[in-house]
Amino acid sequence: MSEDIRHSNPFTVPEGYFSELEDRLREIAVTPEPEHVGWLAKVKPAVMLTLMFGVIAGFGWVVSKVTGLLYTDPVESDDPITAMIEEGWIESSFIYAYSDEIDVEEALSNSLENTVTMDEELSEDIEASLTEDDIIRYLNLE
Amino acid sequence: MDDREILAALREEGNENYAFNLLVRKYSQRLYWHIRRAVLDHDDADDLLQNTFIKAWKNLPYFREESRLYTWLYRIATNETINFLKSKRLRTMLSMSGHESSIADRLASDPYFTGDEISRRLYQAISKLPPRQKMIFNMRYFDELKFTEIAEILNRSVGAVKASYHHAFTKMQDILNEND
Repeated sequence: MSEDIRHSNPFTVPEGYFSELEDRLREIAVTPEPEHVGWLAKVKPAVMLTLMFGVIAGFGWVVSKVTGLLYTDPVESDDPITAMIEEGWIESSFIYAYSDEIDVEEALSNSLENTVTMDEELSEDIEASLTEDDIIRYLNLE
Repeated sequence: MDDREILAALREEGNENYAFNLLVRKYSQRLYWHIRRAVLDHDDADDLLQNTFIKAWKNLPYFREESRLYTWLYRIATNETINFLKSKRLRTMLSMSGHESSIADRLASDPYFTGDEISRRLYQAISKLPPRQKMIFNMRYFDELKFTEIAEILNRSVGAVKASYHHAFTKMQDILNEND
């Protein structure tokens, strides 16, 4: 093994390698690493989001409670007309059209008298009252 | 610049960049060639040099000045290189590819290798040595370090280092004679 080979260097480097090395290595080695993020910091955004939802939901609940106190259910009120309108027993347009002119109790009794309801028991009575001739007549007419 | 001045600069608060520049400026080339002769490839040498300085920088606060700074840096670079060569050797064995032919091909096609046929044969022969023997051979033959220095770098006895070098040198002669 000759001395020439020993002192010769057959290897080369890309141009400017050593001049750029200082900055590149410093950037890698000296630049501080980002701080370790703990589990608490990782879950913090999720916890905050959940808390925000909770606060919004709580606020909504409080608002609904406050407005609920201000709102009085007409059915539970003393006004029987309003209660009947709410229950669907009478047409509001009818009542409001004549409410100033008619007696409320009279209007109610009229309304109930004029209301025709065909409940099951009544239809059975009608059916029982039909005679055979009525049925034949009905079928012939058809 | 003296090692003590570099170490003093390192310990000054807010002087890190300057101190690191001094360290790299003084030792990067020597360490690079030390690594490059063992791994042959520029990219591998660059990676290992980078790892060496990162490790050195991280461990500098614990450097107790029991050894010289350059011995300590050489130790980090040598250990990094030995570990790299060992893992590479294992990968080559597992891949069942021809190690010898790949070294020859790599050197022939490497744009950063300008050596002649004799140089190529020498480095091919060196590549056949086990990692630690290779490092000992390179440190003694190319870097011309004393056996005591090599022993200090590798944390081995001088006798063990001498024996390793002797084995490596004999093996190298045999390999080169085989090829003649």
